[in-house]
Amino acid sequence: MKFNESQILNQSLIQSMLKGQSSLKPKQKIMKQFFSLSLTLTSLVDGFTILVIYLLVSTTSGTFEMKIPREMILPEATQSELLAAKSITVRVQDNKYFINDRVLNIEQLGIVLRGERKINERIIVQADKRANFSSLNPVVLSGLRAGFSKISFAVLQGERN
Amino acid sequence: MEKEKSLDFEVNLMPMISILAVCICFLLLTGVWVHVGTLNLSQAVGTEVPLGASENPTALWVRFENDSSVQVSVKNGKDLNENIKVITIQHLDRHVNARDIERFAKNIKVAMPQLNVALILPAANSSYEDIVAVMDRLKKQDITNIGIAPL
Repeated sequence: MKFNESQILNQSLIQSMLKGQSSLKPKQKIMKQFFSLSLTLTSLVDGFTILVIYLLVSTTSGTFEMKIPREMILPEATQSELLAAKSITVRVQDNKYFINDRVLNIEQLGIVLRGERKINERIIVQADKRANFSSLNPVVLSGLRAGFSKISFAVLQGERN
Repeated sequence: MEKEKSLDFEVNLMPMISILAVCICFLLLTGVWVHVGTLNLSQAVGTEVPLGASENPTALWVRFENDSSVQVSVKNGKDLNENIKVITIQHLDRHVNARDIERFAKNIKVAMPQLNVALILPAANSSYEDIVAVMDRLKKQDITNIGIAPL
């Protein structure tokens, strides 16, 4: 078998990676091109971990939760304090009074508050900001008659200047 | 020849990412984005008197009128000039002018730093939002013991 000198030279050529990838004029054999997308997962895990830590910290602040009806807009205040334990929430909505989702008239409100005085030391009044004081007055009055000296208004925490 | 075993430790990150994604979704759904607080009142009940308080402490009275104007007065302020003891503040766009009330309270606080008691006397048609705004402004001026007089 006769070896062609050019064949030997071609086989012994150092293959250029760049020229080998050329699709227009491939100098060597056309190689199959595999396109693969590699993701750096470590930075994704770092980002997720930071998000989880932030959400954990922001959701565990405060002492206890308060249910607010959707249509109720609480007034805003910058000097508000955290919700305290040992308190009973009285909701005033459409001139009706609710304690634990139970509708009460003014007489029943006074009776319930007198009973609650033994367990709780504070009344939290939850009302829409558009309400008038005349609708809140029975709660304040009943609370005072029941012996509550600590009355609070539920507000949205505004930004402190 | 024995081949050397590779001691590389590889962690499969896909399950970790899945767990973190589930945690994030859960916390986003259960997270509280609106913070609720309370504005506290100090009511005197019966013969209750705060410890250390004098019988008739100097107090700032804020009386709401029916037209949303407000009369602010200082009770038992012995050392105060008579001209600054009482002031009437007109309403601002049918709402109480809480900013002017705060300004007045600030001036009184400069003259009487020990003032920390206020009493709010709302009218029947006084807006709850206005009452809270006045309470907030007074607390900003370090008047912490605020009471509200029922109708």
